[in-house]
Amino acid sequence: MGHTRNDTGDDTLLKIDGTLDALTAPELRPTLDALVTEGRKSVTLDLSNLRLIDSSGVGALVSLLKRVRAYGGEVRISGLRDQPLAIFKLLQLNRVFPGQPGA
Amino acid sequence: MTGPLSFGKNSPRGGESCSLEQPFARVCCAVITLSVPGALEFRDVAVRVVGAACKLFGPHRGDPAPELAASLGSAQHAPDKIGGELSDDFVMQVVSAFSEAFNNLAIHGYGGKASGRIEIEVIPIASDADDKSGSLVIKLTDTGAPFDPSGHLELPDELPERGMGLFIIRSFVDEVRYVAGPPHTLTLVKHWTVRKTTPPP
Repeated sequence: MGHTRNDTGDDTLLKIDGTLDALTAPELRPTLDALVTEGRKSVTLDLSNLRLIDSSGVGALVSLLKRVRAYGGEVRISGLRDQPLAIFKLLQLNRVFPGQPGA
Repeated sequence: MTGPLSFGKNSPRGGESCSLEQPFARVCCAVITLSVPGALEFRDVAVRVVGAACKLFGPHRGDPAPELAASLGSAQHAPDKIGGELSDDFVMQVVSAFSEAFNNLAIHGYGGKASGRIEIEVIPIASDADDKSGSLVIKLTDTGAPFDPSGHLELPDELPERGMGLFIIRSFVDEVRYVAGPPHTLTLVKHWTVRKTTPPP
């Protein structure tokens, strides 16, 4: 799993590649925690190169969404496809995260 | 616990149901076995094997190339050849369910300490004489703490952070069986059917 963060004004783009699962989600936690600590209000997760996600990976992203919304921000997702898209649809998260098919 | 727990989104499936108790002659001889330490670091190895097994033993791709479609409708399709290309959905669902199952055993069964091993068997079963349908059976055996796979029938709430693994397993495979030991055996069964495709004239 790899990730890159780019801030442009109030907007943050976080690109997550590869596999986000029980093994790799802890590596991403500090970055997600930093977004919350800094109070970033407009976060977009680019998942176009995310190959595989499991329930632990989903849990990390949902945790981010809840915490950002708690202070009035929003987390959007772009580029979701294949297995990650199927998981999000199964868990009905495509209705929760803005920018998804069926949202 | 003396008997197996058996449940799934489609079970009981009556005559369609795949069963490990079926005559062994109906089981393809190409059973794959793998033994890995019960730790997350070894999950990717296991996932790759299961994914490759899906390609070997699962259904042909739903929209095959014309030449493949033609061969499917001819005698050239050897009856012992139940492999072939498979739909992306089949691989995706099996791999997703297997990954969650492995997570459960490594994290909850062995407490993340890799104090035991996970034995994996991938068993292809042909359900009809033409090998146009069948099942892929994946057995995971461990000696860690047992768990109750009958829980988490529904999503815990609108924004779940936990408790999704078993929901994913039960949604993406047709049957889930659990026999507590030790050793404990978690069995996932995924059925498949080759979609009939008419070759172009």
